[in-house]
Amino acid sequence: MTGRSLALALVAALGHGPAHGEEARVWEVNGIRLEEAQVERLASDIARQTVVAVERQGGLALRAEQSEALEAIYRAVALDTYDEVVRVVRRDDLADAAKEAEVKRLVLAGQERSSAHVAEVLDAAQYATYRAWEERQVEAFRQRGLGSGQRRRRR
Amino acid sequence: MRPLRRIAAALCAALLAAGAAGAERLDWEVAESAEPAPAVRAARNVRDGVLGLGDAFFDANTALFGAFALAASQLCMAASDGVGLVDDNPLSEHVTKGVVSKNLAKVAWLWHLAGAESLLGSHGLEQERWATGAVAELNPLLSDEDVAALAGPLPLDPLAFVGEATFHAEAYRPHAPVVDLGAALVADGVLRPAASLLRIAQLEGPADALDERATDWFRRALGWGW
Repeated sequence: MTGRSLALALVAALGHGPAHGEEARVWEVNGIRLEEAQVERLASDIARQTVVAVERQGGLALRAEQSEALEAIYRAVALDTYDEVVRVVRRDDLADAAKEAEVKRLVLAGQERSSAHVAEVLDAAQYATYRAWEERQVEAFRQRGLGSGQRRRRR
Repeated sequence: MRPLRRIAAALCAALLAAGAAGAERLDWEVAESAEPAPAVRAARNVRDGVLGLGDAFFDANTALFGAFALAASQLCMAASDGVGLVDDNPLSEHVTKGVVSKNLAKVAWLWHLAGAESLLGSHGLEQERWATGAVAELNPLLSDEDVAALAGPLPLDPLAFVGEATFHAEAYRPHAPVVDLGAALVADGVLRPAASLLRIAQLEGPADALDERATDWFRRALGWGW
């Protein structure tokens, strides 16, 4: 199994989407069920860590209320984007390469949405710094393949 | 007699076929109506309450074994570091090559791995972490360092046990087993059973809240322990 197909399989395995209607975000993970509370925790963890990543950037000096606002933005956008990603990955009519391209497009679109919200939260100078860093990160994301192994995995 | 046998065989074949068809879906993909009749809802609460008691019991077992194994790992590591002073010092290493201390360190790593997997295997933590890795992959803003932070500290890298050092400090984390043990006892011995009893008593809202709180505390405890 190639790295790309493995990554898509991972996402596909996650991608049984809301199992009981649109309201509940319950995901089936490769034979393991993530309950709504787990999905919510997962989104919160990732959003919190994303804020940590932002706070590491020099020159931003986020205020507490800004950090909270960013976390809420990242959390909401991630959940919505992921739902869209799941729908794409579950499509039978797309080849792996097409799915990967579409997944990347969705992720980048989500990033743009979050960036627009972030611009409303940060001061102009902060946002300029943020945007420059974000563009570098996005470019790196464009360059690497999903499941390319360029991200360190513990196991 | 033969027709009976044929009927029985046909029945078995039909059951197997039905089972195979069912197996194509996930076991827990049980379609239940979102708004059941009151009697059905009550029956479900009793069922889920009883199952919840069992789940808490098994999770407690898994977590307790995890805490025990982590403690055993630390004891082995202490023995390894102690013996290492004798069989792996600048003089003796040319003769004994640290054979005993290295093997004790390997045993410590194996206990650690068993303990870490056991703890992560309880309370749905392993699947959460696995899912987190897949989702983090789709976040352009997260670095490798962030992904590692999301994955959590368990299990430690093998080099924490067998790397070149006189004292392998990272392998001890002496408070971890105690914190994990306490968290398992409180979460699975008290909170989750209480939540199950509330569910059986048809108090779904408080039961859900308590269940979620218990699991969240356990997750946090693992973080505190490290």
